[in-house]
Amino acid sequence: MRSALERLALVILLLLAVSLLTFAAMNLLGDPLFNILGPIAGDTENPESLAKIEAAKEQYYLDRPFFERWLRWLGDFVRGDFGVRFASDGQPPVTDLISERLPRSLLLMVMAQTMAVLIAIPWGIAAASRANKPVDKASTFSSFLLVSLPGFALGLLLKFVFAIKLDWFPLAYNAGNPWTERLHAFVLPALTLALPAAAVYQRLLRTDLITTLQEDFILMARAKGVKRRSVLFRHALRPSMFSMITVFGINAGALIGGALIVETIFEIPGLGRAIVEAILREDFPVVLAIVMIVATAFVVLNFLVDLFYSLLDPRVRT
Amino acid sequence: MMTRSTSSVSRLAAVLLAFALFAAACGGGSDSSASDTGSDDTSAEVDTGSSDADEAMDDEAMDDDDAMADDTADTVEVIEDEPSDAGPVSGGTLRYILEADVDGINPVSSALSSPGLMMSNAVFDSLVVMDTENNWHPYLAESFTPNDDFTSWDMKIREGVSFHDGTPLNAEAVRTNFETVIADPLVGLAVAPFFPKVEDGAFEVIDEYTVRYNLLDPNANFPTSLSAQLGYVASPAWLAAALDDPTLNQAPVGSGPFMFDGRSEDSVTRFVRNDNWWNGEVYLDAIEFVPVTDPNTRNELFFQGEAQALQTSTQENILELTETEGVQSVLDDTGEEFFVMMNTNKAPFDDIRVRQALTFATPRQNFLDLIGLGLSQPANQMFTPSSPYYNPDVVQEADMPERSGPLVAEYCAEFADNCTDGKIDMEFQWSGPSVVQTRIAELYDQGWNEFFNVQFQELPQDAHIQEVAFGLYDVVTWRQFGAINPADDRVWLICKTIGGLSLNWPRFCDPERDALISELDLITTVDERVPVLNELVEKINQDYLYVFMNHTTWANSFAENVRGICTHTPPDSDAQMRCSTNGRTWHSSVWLDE
Repeated sequence: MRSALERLALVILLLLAVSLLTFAAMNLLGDPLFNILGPIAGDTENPESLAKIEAAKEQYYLDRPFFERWLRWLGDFVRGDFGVRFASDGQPPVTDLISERLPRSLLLMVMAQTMAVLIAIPWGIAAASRANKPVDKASTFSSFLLVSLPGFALGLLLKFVFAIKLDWFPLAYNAGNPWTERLHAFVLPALTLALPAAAVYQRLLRTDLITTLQEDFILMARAKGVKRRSVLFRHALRPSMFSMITVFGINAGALIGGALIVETIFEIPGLGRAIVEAILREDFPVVLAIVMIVATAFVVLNFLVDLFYSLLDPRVRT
Repeated sequence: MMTRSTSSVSRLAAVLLAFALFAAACGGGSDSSASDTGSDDTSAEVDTGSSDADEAMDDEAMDDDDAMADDTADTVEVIEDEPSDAGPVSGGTLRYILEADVDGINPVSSALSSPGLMMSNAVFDSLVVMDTENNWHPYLAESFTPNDDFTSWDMKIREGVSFHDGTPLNAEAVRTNFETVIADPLVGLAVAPFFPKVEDGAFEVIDEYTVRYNLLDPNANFPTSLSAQLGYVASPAWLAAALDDPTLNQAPVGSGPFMFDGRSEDSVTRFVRNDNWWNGEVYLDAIEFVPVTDPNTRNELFFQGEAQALQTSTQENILELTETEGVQSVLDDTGEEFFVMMNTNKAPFDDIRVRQALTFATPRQNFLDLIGLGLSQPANQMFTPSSPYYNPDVVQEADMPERSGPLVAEYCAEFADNCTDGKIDMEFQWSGPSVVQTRIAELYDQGWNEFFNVQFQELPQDAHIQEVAFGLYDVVTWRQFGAINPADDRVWLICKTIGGLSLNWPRFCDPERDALISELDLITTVDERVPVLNELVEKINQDYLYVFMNHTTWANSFAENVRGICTHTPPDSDAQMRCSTNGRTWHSSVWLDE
């Protein structure tokens, strides 16, 4: 319990540091006043423009000291108010953007991770149970190929083959389509994220499985006549998933990074595309909100993974 | 096209387009003698068209053969005509792919780029429309009546029109729209310079259906400015609500042929048929706009039948569309020009010899071959060769580095402080990060670096625009011009838009040029405009302010079963409305032949 509380405190500290760093970085880039007012943001010699500049500064606390602004922003963020989109017409709330985009990105992540695990487990078992045989060697080759291939190249390749040439999947996501078609449009992007992740999981699972398969309790099970399939799935798999689950949590961050590219390639209006556009337009409340959401999700996920270890391996409970 | 691919560039383009669209609201130059003379002349011209200056200038007036310009009609080309058919059929949903999405669809506050204007055409009606001969026609307006010197225009509004929320269209609604737009910090920028302050009577309500626009300078073509964004009229109730709740900018309420149904930003915006539209029957059940930023994906989606229409300005994709059997394409190359622009307000480009030297050293052909891929139309001036205003004597000089050397040597001998090692020091700025813009910069530098020490400066778009607007640059790449009424491009050229914040970006003031523009503002016929515009183009060329590169070509392509693409007409007239303007088309007459 104490350990969990310590970790929770660390998580909060980490998030505070991320928010402070991101807030500072965003403040170094661009001029939010330009996004709100256009070129008159620099027209300080014109009294009319100056009045508008002052009004905007006051409205958005841009004239306050850095730490005051950060604390205000942090307080609002904790209460679920992510500020307004400076670069958008009329400065609408960031929350609206997030609530529309987050479910899509979440769905993409969940689909990608699910696919990755579903691919990695049988793949890893197949490779481990036939270690150093042709199947294993082919598996090693293909997993290294997938890990080496940049996400955008894999995405474009999958898109070209399965969406353009074979027409099996939609080329782009369209929020106006029925939910079945929308889900269909997520398959290729999720697969783009899943395949390299699956390759990594497979490598880890294979290695751990090979080690586990040499353990005494496996030998005992085999000696007792337990079927090979049962030995693999019921006895060897669970204790061999430790490394894979660790990386599963860490990999969430990499998937989020990959989603920036994948969402662009497959025209999915998720958080990835939102943050890319916000960075280009220096719309820092949007960038801040997404960075914080992603960071929070990342640390919470890893926190949960830590807790999950204890379910897998009772030795961790101490 | 490769030159328009990043969000920052799109944003820049949107901001500039907003200026361009609103620049139209304007008077002419400040030369009173020119205005006086012109006033008499054009009063007579309008009288001829409408029988009396005191009478409304209505459709018949502007249908006259002499009226307005027909510069661009022949460059809007339907590659494959629609097959003949029994008649329009109601029903179906048209899915239209756009180049990008917009931040909002509010005509008084959103910087509407081409996709934004396309969606606006569904939900809003404009006060004025342009026909294929580029004559203006009252649309939501019923008629216009200028005063004797064209400094004031009375507009009669069409009665019996309601917005989608039930609010009636009347003078107060138009007033709300005008006052909101002029107060907007961004969109109002290009409008405000041409009107007195609102409190000084820029706009008056005469009666329930009549309003008066008071201009600072005479403008005989003022109604043309109401054919684009400034002319869209939104529900005043919605405008007021959107001021309080900006999320409503995503859910527009107009009086147009389609009503807003739903929007998922960056994915789809859907409008459904307005069964009570004031201007006749609307055939489509719904129209969906889908922004797709990747040009190749746009084409693929279209060819796969995922959409029945698309807009694109990417040259190689246009070629593919026009060469594909069964695809109907409307081409329009009368839009903006892409060019290099120099700041004449500070050294070294305040000296014409330096501007000439840079012009001569510019590797324009390399640009056209390597950036335009040999597909874009080279630009010599702001008009295409098919325009009656095109001046064949004006040719964009470039690719003559041998002429730069002596000019640079002469300048450096005189202003050694501005030179290093016999080359002129200069800064070249563009909006980035953009791979294409960087490639363009490197390409230019290959020509310039023999005579110039070029320092590159890639800035975020906000800083880039600010520095250009405030004259803190030497040389930049830019895109503008292309107004349907050439006089509406005056905002970029006249002396009065030079200031702390300047819309005359090169900050070049030439009273003679202003006089020509003032003259232009009082002319309503093509024939009379030709010599004035020829002279104007010649002066621009001789001042070496811009190095023109290429014209932007827009294509709007439609599936074989889409009909009624170019058959929209204004009320009370048989005139055919201009089919495509800067990539936007009309939707009310479109129907699907299943």
